[in-house]
Amino acid sequence: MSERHEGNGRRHRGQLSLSIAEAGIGVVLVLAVAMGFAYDLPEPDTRHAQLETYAEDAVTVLAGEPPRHRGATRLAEVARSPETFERERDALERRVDRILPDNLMYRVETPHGAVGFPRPAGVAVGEATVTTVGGDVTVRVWYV
Amino acid sequence: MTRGQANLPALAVALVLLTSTAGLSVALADAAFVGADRDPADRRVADALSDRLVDDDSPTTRRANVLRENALSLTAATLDESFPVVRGHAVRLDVGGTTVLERGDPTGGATVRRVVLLARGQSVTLVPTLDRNATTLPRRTERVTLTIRPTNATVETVRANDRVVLHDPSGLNGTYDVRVSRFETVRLRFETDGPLARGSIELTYYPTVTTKATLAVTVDV
Repeated sequence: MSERHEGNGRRHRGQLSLSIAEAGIGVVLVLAVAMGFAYDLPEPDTRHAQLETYAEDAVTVLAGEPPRHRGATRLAEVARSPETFERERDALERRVDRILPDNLMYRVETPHGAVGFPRPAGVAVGEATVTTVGGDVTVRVWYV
Repeated sequence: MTRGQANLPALAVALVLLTSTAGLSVALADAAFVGADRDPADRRVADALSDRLVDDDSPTTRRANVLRENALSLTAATLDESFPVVRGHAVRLDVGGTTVLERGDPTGGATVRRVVLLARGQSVTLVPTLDRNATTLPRRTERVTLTIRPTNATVETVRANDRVVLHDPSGLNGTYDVRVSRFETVRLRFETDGPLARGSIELTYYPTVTTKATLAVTVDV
């Protein structure tokens, strides 16, 4: 590049600063990478593990509860038929809402429908499934 | 020609500058990797302790994730005895926001939260009104204590939802403990040789009241 300036009386300006400028840019690049290490390494992701634990616990609690009317357990009663699902959905929603901590949203999916909130895209979700005589029941939880 | 010569010291300075920066950065990265927590013992112990605390077979639970009433009165010594995983570590247990056990200062350690129910046992005793020698328990229970003192008839058999739970051809008389299913409403039927007088049967059942809570286990190794 600096060849163009030769002989036009301005050669000293461009010639010396170019190497220094290149070195400066190099130093900035190297330091930028180094800063990544200086400000601590990323923490392990424990939020997701905690969400999985919440989902597991919710399923365990629900699966151990007696049915409101008849059936093996509360979840088996809900998953048994569309009629029992319709009858129990409000009670199930209230129950899940009560047992989960307030900072969580949830969705419970049964073979006959789902209760809870629609699941947003792009959030960490904890998931647990339990098998009942009526089919699988899946609980998904995520942070508000 | 003059251009290359004039640049030589500048090039040397630039190289020295870059090399020293790179060396410094590598040293920094090395220090960061050495200092990194590659063995998250806090979290591992907290996870293990919380798993054991809510386990089906744990001395603190009635069934999985349902804590007994007295589970909240753990002492550090009994905790060590039942859950050796936490021996020698600073630990704190919170149930529903109240600290039930604290040993050492686990601030800065890892916390694992579990959804649990707190079970409180009750006992209700009643003299049931018998309709054709049968009665339905008002609430679900795991066991029933029956006191049978027949005055005018002999009670041969007691059935819970048509399942024989007590039987004596020469007549039942005394106090009996009967295990029933907590998953269904129990209807007790007494088979006698005549109508039972009110007061011949006294029964005690043990309904469970559960409240929800969050169990937080914090451990610092």
